[in-house]
Order: sequence, then structure tokens, then C-alpha cells
Amino acid sequence: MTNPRYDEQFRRGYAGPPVPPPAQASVSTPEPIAPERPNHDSHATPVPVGGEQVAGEDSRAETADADRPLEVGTTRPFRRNPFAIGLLAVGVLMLIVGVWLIEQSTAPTATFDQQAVSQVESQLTAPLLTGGVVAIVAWLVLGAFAASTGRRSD
Amino acid sequence: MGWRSITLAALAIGLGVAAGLCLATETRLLVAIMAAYSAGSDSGPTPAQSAAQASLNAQFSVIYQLAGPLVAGSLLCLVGFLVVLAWRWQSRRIPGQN
Repeated sequence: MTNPRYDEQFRRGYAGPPVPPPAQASVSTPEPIAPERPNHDSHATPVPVGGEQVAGEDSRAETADADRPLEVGTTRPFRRNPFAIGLLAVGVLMLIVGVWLIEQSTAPTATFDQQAVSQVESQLTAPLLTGGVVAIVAWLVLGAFAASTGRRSD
Repeated sequence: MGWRSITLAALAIGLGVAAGLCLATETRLLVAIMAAYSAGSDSGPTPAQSAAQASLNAQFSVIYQLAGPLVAGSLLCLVGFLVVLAWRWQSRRIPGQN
């Protein structure tokens, strides 16, 4: 009894003419969304990021998550997100500037201009500290969402 | 980049410019107020000086209350813009997925 799932040419006892294999171009390969990555010959191979050639050795498999190559069809690691890195940097910068302004407000002033600038600077302290804390909290929340999303897709 | 990201970026820039103008005006007003108060004699300010001081104080009060929220709003818009960009980057998958 023949298996109906297979084409007739692959069934036992087929005596017809040989059928040429289908052309390679007829296979529909999905177009990549972002074609700026040059090294993706096949969508089954890992794609090295940032020009790094990562060897497939066993010792490298235990490296940190950020050092592993990106695999096609997976979510991107949060540590490589440039905007998240920028968000964290902006938050830390705002906190540093806020603390620096607090220290500056205690310095003695001599002229009217210095007093005026000192008072205006002291007004900036609260928004800067608040913005820095909000940025760092947003970075943490984004990281948590990215981790939960990546775990769900695995 | 979607229209929300562009709106956030435009808000951050606009509020930042407005906050900078407010802070500069506030500094100028503070210097003028200090100079006006120090110019008074021992017998007290003249009516004209009192009127000028009151006008400067009123302007400074308005600017002082505007500057803080403008700075905070600008920083929050900047943070929100970065959050939106980071979220969009994160939610995109590696090219080649079916």
C-alpha cells in the first residue's frame, strides 16, 4: 500500500520518467526586515553582531549572554540595546549633575550674578534628581519586560 | 520612527528651549531685583523704586513657578523618548524570522 503523503515519483514501484528537482529559486525565502546586517546567508545560521566572529567552541558556550551571537528569529538581548544604554547613561548623568549642583549651592558667593546663578542652579536640582531616578527606574522596568518576553518566547 | 516618538522628541526639545529661556530670564530678573533692593537708601525706597521692585517681584514669581515644571517636563520627555526607542528596538526580532 502506498503512502498518499508522498508524491507519486517517490512511491515504491514508480516507473515513470524521472522528474527534475525543483529549482532553488522557487523556494520562497522571506526577505529580511533589516538588510543592514551583511552576514546572513541562511536564516538557520547564527548571525554575528558588530562584526565579531564568534567561534562555535564549547568553551565559548558558557560565556555571558551579551557575548553570544544573535540567532535568527529570537528576541534581542537587552544588554545590547543602544537606547537602553543611552537611557541608563542619561539617568546616571542627571543624578551626577544633580548631586554636583547640591554641592555647588553650598559654596560661598560674592557678587549678585553668582548669587542669582546659584539660586537658579538650586532650582534645577530637584528636576535633575527626579529625572535621573525616573530614567534608571525605566531602564530597570524595560530590562524586566525584556527578560520576561525573552523567557516567554523560548 | 512613529509619530509618538517624534512628538516626544519635539516636546523634549521645545520644553528644553522654553526652560532655558525661563532660566535665563529668571537669572536676569534676580540680578535686577538684587540691584534694585541694594540701591535703596537708608530712608527707604522711593515710590518709583517700590513700584519697580514690585514689578520685578511679580515677573520673577511667574518665571520661578514656570521654570521648574518646564525643566522636569523636558527631562521626562527625553526619558520617555529613549524608553520608546528602546522598547521598539527590543521588540523587533532578528531578521529572517518567518
